[in-house]
Amino acid sequence: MTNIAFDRIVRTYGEVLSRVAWGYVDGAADHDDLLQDILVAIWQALPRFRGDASERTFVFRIAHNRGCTFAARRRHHEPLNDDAPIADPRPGPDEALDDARRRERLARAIRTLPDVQRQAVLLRLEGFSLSEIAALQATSEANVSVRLTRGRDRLRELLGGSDG
Amino acid sequence: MKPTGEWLEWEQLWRADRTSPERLEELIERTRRARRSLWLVRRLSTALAVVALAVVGAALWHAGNVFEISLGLVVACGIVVVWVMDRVNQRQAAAKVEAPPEEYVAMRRALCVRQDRFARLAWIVTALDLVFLVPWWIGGISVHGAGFHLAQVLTVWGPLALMGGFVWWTIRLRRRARAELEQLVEAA
Repeated sequence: MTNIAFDRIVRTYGEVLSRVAWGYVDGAADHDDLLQDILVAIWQALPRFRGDASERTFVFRIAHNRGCTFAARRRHHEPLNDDAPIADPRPGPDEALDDARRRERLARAIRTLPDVQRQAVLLRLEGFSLSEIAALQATSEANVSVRLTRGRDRLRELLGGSDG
Repeated sequence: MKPTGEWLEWEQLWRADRTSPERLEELIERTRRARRSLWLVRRLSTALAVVALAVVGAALWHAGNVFEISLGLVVACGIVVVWVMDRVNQRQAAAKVEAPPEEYVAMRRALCVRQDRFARLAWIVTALDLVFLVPWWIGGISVHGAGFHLAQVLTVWGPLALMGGFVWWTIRLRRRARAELEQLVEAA
């Protein structure tokens, strides 16, 4: 039963979980390791899932909790200067931006955010509502708004406004 | 909440990163393998504790005086305590993983502290184990001679290699626990 539920969860949320993992690690190998770590944690926690929160909340809480732990244990954060904007990967002003490189730049900026802000921003990017983020973070919607505003300002600062 | 301005642009950019269905199936298979490895590692840690106890038991069989017997019993108890602590830590690490961030962070802090203590206790038990076993090994080698025959591999070189591996693992565990604890304290 757990196996069936687990396979369904991976098929439903796998893509989103893969993106969430990029919010915590920067290399492909670390990304795969974290994703696997998240999935194993979900599988271990599944028998405890009683439906008190929605399945989406359950899955995302695990993903973010494991992401924070993984990043803290590996300490593979890029040594970013806190105040320096992240270099724009554009080869020249007239050339089109490569989406993958812009996305990586966004992910790098997200990885510099404090954990709760990063979590709120990642959920926001995945289309979660304020109330859903508040439920997931076990806080008020007003708090989530503050976290999102601070997160947005920081991203804006790091991305130098060119992605905004 | 309707996305506007830069949120909308970031959202579109972020969500354009897609994962193929084949990749999802591969993830399911990888996780199955990881679960099997996890199961195996747990059994191996139990087997390691049993082997350690068996070696101490064999040495106790040859103990010459009350001091050696007492030391052997202390070491045996230490091995059991370390094994139980490891099991409890493993269980704790898997618990509360779906908790809200604050609760989860509190659990991780407690776990890191326990892992730090666990590593130090493991080193003490390993040191006591060596104090207890080295005289037995020296006596055994002087009677049976040095070499790599089966009995000696099972009672001397094998346990030494296992102890070395175990100490290396605890050093790594402690380093990671301390790094995480530092990060948690910084973030608080």
